[in-house]
Amino acid sequence: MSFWLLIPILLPIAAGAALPLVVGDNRDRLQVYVASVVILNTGFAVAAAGLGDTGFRALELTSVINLHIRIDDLARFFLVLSSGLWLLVTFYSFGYIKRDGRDKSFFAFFLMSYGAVMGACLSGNFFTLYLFYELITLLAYPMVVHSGTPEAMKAGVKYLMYSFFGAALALVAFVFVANYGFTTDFTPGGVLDPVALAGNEGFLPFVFLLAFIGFGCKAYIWPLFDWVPASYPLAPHPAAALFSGVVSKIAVLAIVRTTFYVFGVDVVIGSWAQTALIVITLLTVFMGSMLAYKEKLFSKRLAYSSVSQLSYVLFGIILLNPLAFLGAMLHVVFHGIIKTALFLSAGAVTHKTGKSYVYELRGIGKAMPVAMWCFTMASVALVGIPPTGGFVSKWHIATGGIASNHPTLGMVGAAVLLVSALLTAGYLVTIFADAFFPGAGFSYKKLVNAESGKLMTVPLVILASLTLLLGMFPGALIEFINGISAIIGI
Amino acid sequence: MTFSGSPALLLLVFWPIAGALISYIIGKKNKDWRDYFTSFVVVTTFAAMTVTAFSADNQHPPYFEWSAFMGFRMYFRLDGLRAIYGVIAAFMWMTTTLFSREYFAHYRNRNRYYFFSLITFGATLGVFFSADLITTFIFFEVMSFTSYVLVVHDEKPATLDAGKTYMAVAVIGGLALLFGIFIIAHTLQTTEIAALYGAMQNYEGDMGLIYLAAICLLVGFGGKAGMYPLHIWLPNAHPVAPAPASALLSGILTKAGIYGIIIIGTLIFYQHYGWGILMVSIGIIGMLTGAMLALFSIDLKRTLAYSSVSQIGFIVLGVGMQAILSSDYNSMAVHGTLLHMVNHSLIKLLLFMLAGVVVMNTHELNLNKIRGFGRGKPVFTLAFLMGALSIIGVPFWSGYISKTLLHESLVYHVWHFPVYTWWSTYFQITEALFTLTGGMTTAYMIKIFVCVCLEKNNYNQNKLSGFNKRYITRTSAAVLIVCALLMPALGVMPYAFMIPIATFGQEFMLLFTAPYHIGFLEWLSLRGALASITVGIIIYALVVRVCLMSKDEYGHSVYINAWPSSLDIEKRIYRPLIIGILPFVGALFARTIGSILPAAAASAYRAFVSFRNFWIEEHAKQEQDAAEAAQAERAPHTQGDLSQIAQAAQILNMRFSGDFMRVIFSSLAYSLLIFFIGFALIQIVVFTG
Repeated sequence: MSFWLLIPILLPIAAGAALPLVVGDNRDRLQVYVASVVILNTGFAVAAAGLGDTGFRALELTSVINLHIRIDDLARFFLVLSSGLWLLVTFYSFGYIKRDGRDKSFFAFFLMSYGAVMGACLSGNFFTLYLFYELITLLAYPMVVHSGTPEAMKAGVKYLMYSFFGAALALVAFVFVANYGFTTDFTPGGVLDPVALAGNEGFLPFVFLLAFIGFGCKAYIWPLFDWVPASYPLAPHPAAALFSGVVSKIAVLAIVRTTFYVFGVDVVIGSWAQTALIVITLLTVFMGSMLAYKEKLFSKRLAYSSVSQLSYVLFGIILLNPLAFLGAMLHVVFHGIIKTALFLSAGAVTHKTGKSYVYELRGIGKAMPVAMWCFTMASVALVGIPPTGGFVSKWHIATGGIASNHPTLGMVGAAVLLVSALLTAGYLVTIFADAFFPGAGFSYKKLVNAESGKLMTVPLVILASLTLLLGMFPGALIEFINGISAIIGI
Repeated sequence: MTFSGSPALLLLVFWPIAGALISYIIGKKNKDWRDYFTSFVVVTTFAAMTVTAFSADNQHPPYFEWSAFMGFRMYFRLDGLRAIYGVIAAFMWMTTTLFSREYFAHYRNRNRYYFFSLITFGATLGVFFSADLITTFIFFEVMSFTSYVLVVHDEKPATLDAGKTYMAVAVIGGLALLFGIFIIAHTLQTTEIAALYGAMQNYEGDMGLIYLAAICLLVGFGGKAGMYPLHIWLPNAHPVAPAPASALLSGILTKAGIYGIIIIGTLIFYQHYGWGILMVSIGIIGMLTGAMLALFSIDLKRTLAYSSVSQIGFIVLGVGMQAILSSDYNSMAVHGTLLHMVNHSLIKLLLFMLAGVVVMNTHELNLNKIRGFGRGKPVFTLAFLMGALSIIGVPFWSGYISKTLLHESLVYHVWHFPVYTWWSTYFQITEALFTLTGGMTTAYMIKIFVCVCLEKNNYNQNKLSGFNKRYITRTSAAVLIVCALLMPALGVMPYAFMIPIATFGQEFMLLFTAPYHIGFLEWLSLRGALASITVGIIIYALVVRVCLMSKDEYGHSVYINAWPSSLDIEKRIYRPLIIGILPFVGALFARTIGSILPAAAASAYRAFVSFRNFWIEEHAKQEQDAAEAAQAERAPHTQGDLSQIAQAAQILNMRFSGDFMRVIFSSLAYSLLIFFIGFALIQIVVFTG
């Protein structure tokens, strides 16, 4: 039964590898093929999420090095989120990616990365997680450099270097845990063996810090976020949306796994590593927003915005408090939806009009009302204006911070979060205000409706309505996340 | 999803919001039907609101609780002040929407206006019904953001600029408010408004946190209320916003802010002397500044906007006075505050609609251009007169009642100092300034009334008089007359209408009995008003007629704007700070911190590259030497075999020299390198440990 868990991982990887053989040069067949694989696989992923807690091992080389595929509540959470977002972005990509021959390689790697993401969600021990994490890095690389320009290649190298460096830091933690843990399987409450560890406790916070920052690289933590503004503007918008919406969430999953399932709350809470990470995440929150506020290139602004928003999540996690954890996990969902919507609507604008600087967008709301309405909804949600989702998650992160074991830092954190929200308003509200209020001199006669096709607008509308609907009725989500935090014992 | 209580309250809030969507859809097809439908929505909401409010039992007020909205509790109540303000909000939206049909007849984007106006309506009702700070915040934010669209409706450059100020105050205020609620939720462990009082009485923690929270809440609510020094959006937004929107902004949205200020001033700081002094000080500065600027302004709507700042100052002063006076004697202050809120809403509704009548006919607001507009327009002049008399506080008009109550509470406090102290002097000065502000109110109202309705325009009186008899539709005229007649109707019989209204709302401010009796026609009460009016007439005669008017080149007297433009708190302080200085400092900080690692990595990379180049060069040199040596030794016939191997190697090399493969392999190698370093580190730790 548990063997079925392999299907959502292997199917897209196999289908992606076989894509050049199957579709040949027939472009319509390409769309049908990719769409059916993604729809089927999303079905399998959801079905896998419906299984009870189960798992199995394959390729058991040693007790540490083995492939452990497993599903639990945390895995379900990320599985459904990533596969849902992947499905929407797929349809959008059909409208976005030019049919210039290179689209075949884009979609091949698009499918394979999907499989790797599923694998990371379903991994049951440190080794498996690490393996799929590196696979995502490699398989997503061709999507980053899709345009093939020298700048894109250079940005791609930067992306790879940072990712591998981050993963290598996490690997240090892996070796440490392999030496000092009962096991490397993810166990709620941690796996460290106090007897083996005796005398070396002093290293623990240091190793934890390395692992957190290492995995944090793909969640854009300072000081490892410099690749984000370099590579996102050069990648196609759907790829940037997936990175920001899904891949960064896999990094969050890895961090949650290391924090709560490997090291354990008791080890981390009150240590200097916790204090240091709170400061670092808050620093990143502020820096991301500030740099986004100063940025004029549309997609780069969104990239910096992701830097800031992902650190909201990391801040919520490192507070080690059920309220903040709830906020962080809610923000995983909402930021996933919101940032995907933002990148996709930015992509719709750039794709249709070629405009990529924010000051060129005056009056664009009149020409592309659907895309800009979705952008507006998502922006309002990202600032955290009720009744959208952003408010719910930020509320819980901030109150969790004040109620945590670092009340003063928590208070500072709440203030930083609000300053960042202010900056977020500064860099997003101005865009849609200009887009919809072009000024009295705006010529309505020259206006041409430049709305994208249904393939691109329908996913956008779905995402935009989700920000509002999930914000107004988050009850089921909250219950589910509280179930997870009960399991991991915070 | 679990509901309890009366769903009528939820319906009242969501019916306008649903109506907004429906009217937008209708408006895509047919403009007339859209207008009928929006009128239908506001009239039905007003009717339902009135019925619900009047049938409410104040002992067991209707409430509505929805325990899972956004993961929080949505909690509405309809008692006292909430019911009063629900009715006033519904009344104001009804009148302005009926008036809008004529006002917007020649505007673009009307669909958008009605859509956002109705959403703002629903959200405003939500704010006034809210019985939990989180519910308040949710609707408050929706109200702030949707009303932005009303402000910037005509999209002229000045409008968009004012819109920026409005949005900045809304966003910054909203975040300050949220921070305050965070702290309240943490320290007092409740956000239910009625429970705040009890939680404060039992609170034994750090008072510093409570003060911080209160200041944050005050910034949030005060920004919306137009409280000094956060009033900056009022004088900018009002002249450029459409008149119906101005009426709503000034009349009702500011009161949503006051609603919050009352919560801080009574429920959190019940009978807190220090907070009372703070409120009185802010109030008196706002009153004076607003009145002063109103006196100098030569733009009709800007005058009214500054007048709002001034009148909000009166209300804030009232909130302060009820905290200063002990709970047995503060009933006058409580009633004065509540009634002045009500009066100011109704008066500003009327006056801004009148300004709208001027704008829609002449498209001008400058006093010199619209001078004499009211000549020969009896309905207009009468309505203007009613509004002016009421806001001045002339006996028999509604404004007199609330101003007298506020004034009497000040006088009472001054008289009841047992000994002479600094504070008694402070309150004596405050009382004098109160009278002076009343005088300035009189002066600027006389100024605009005389200018618009009595004086003759020296240049185009014919054009202005040409509008006579066709300057307004019957619907609008009826709306104006109803609003105008409310002023004397309420003021003539205070004990029949106004005092019962105040008594109905007083429990919100924790006043349960009202042990006072004021004869509003006794000399003691009248003399305050008369003093103000006398001072006002003197100011008008000596300042306005002499200093604020001069002769133009044709020898006609014109109004001049004598206020130095450099004295502008927004342009001098707020804008440079928020647009220039703070982002610069923040970005400098962010860039510096952010470039630490990339800079280190870049220099490490440069070092690596130069080392590699050195190595390659050395290697090449060695190879060259070796090759030369070999060349000298070996016979030429072995050349063929070598080249075959070299060819194979070259092919292999080409395979792997593609950018993609090279990058992947070098990165993998790099990652392995780091891995081994880490592994070695750990091993060292393990073995030494």
